[in-house]
Amino acid sequence: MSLTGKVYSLRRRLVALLVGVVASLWVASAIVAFQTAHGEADGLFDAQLVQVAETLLAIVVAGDASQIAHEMAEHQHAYQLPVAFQAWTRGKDGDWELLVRSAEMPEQLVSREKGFDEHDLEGRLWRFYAVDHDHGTYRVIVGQNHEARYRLAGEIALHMLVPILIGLPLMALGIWAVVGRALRPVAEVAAALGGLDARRLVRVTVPGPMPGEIAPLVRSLDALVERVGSVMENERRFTADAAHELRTPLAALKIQAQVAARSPDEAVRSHALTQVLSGVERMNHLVEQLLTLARLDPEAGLKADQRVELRGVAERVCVSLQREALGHGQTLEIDAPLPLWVAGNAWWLEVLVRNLVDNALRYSPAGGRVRVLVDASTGLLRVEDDGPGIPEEARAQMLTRFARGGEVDSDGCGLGLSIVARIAEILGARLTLRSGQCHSRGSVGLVVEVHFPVAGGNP
Amino acid sequence: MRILLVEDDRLLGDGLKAGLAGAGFRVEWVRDGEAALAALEAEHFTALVLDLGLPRRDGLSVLASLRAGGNGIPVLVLTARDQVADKIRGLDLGADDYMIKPFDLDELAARLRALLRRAAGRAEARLIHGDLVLDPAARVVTLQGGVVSLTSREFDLLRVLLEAAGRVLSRRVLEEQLYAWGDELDSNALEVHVHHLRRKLGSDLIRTVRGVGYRVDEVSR
Repeated sequence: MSLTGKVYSLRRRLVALLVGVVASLWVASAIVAFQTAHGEADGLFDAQLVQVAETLLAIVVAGDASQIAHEMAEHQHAYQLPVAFQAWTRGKDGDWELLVRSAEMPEQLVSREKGFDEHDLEGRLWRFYAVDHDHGTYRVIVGQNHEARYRLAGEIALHMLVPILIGLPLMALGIWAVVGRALRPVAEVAAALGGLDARRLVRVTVPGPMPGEIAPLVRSLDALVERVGSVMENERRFTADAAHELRTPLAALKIQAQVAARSPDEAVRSHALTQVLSGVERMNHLVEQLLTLARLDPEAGLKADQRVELRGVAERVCVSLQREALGHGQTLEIDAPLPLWVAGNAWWLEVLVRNLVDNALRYSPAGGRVRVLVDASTGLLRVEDDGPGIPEEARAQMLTRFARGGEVDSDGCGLGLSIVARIAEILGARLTLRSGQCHSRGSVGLVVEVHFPVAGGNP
Repeated sequence: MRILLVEDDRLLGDGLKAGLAGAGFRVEWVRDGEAALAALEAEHFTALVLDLGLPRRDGLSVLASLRAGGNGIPVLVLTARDQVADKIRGLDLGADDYMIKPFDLDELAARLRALLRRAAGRAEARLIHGDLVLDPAARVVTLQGGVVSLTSREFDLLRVLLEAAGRVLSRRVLEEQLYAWGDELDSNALEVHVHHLRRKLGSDLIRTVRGVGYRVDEVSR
């Protein structure tokens, strides 16, 4: 895993998001409140207009207009009525004559309609209510500047906005703290991971309860740690095993060399020197096999992308091992009537066949017989020997590194079958070990079969 | 000084057998754990050199069953494993000494001699009997300060007798200590060696216990 994108702070993002959402909700609700308040104020003020107009009309109809002006002025002063008014009467010629008006009102008729009307007056929006009496003898128009309504609605909206203006920073701080606290397990996991020793991987341990959102992350990490640990343990065991396997032949070389160096007996000396040579041979074989294993490592970069003809490989291997077989009085036969194309890599396949045949020869007695079969129709490679075989319960073990057939004398280093198993695994081939059918001298023999996934082009 | 060597590796076993024989030990060599237990059951050995990674029966298991059976034979363990935990386990199971492969032949021989000495309850490496001194490491015998020339068999016989000073050793025990399996052995070879020793060291050192065997008297130091 690597950080490919931009790194951002979850905490900062959460705070910004939450504060943004809350602020917009509040602003929206303030707008709604303003509109609602405005609507309510409209109703309220309209009712007031109607009431004042009716009252005025009653007074105008009943009495003296100058009295009204005086009273209204007082009235207005006492109750601070935010209301302006005109009272008109129809003259004898049918024109409207102004009886009385408040100071804000002009001397012209401000509304020709009965009922509510809205229009500008000296650059400001007013709402008027006109009421007539006695079939148009008297008319009273009351008006009110819209500002009053806006002011009221604005005040209501502001009352809602003020707490949020103070509250938002506090809320941001609170969210910052809460989010930080909620994210603490993440920091703890990070600390626990940072504290892991690469050479001694253990499960991630975090003190305290674990939130469900982070638990899967920790579980995945634990699983990864476990897998890496098991791979490392395998490698460690292999290194230890390899050291062990190298030490014994080294010890043998050293002791034999010491015997050769100091024995006064010529026969003992020459025997020891022969043994030194044979020990070097064996070390060489072991080192070769170890190198082969190392090259089978996926990191070595070899690919199984070639099409390889297996019959040719088997024939080459058999020819090259023929001399060794004859040297031990063994018979090495190959039965491969048709070419078999398999997907793989020429080197791997040769290593596989060579190890199988070499193993068969190593574990077969002098005078024994090793048979190699390549069956193109089923994609099968079979190597069969005369040796002691491997008991069924020990077969799986034999495929691991450094396991040897225990009962027999052999110079094998115990890597052959594990190399074969590894190559078969890489090539997707199936490896089976079983006993041979019928053999003399109590040895059951071993049959190793490799079933290849058959590539196209075979007959 | 008859040693049982248990080592499955053909080259190493062969080399150790030759090397230890050169250092004056009689070595019997077996190659698996079961054979080792069978040999220890059947015959007497003065020490056991035991490899741990053995077929058929693991070295540690051989050691454990040996100690469980009350066999106190000195055991020197050979192993390729150098982990401290492995060492501790080996020693706790009753190994007396521990050598990690690859090791030095001379050191192995010296440690074996030390093991045998401790097993005999001696701190002194040399065997001293009055004015007779036997040095097992140098394989030299001196009498009143003068070196006495002995054959290898005579030296080994004298050592076995001196180590068991005060006890009677039967002919069979002596022969087992002196001859490896497969060595040719004529019926009166032992008498011949005793005769030579008496001639070189004085006739009163080795006493014949009729019908039983031979004995060297204990001397107070």
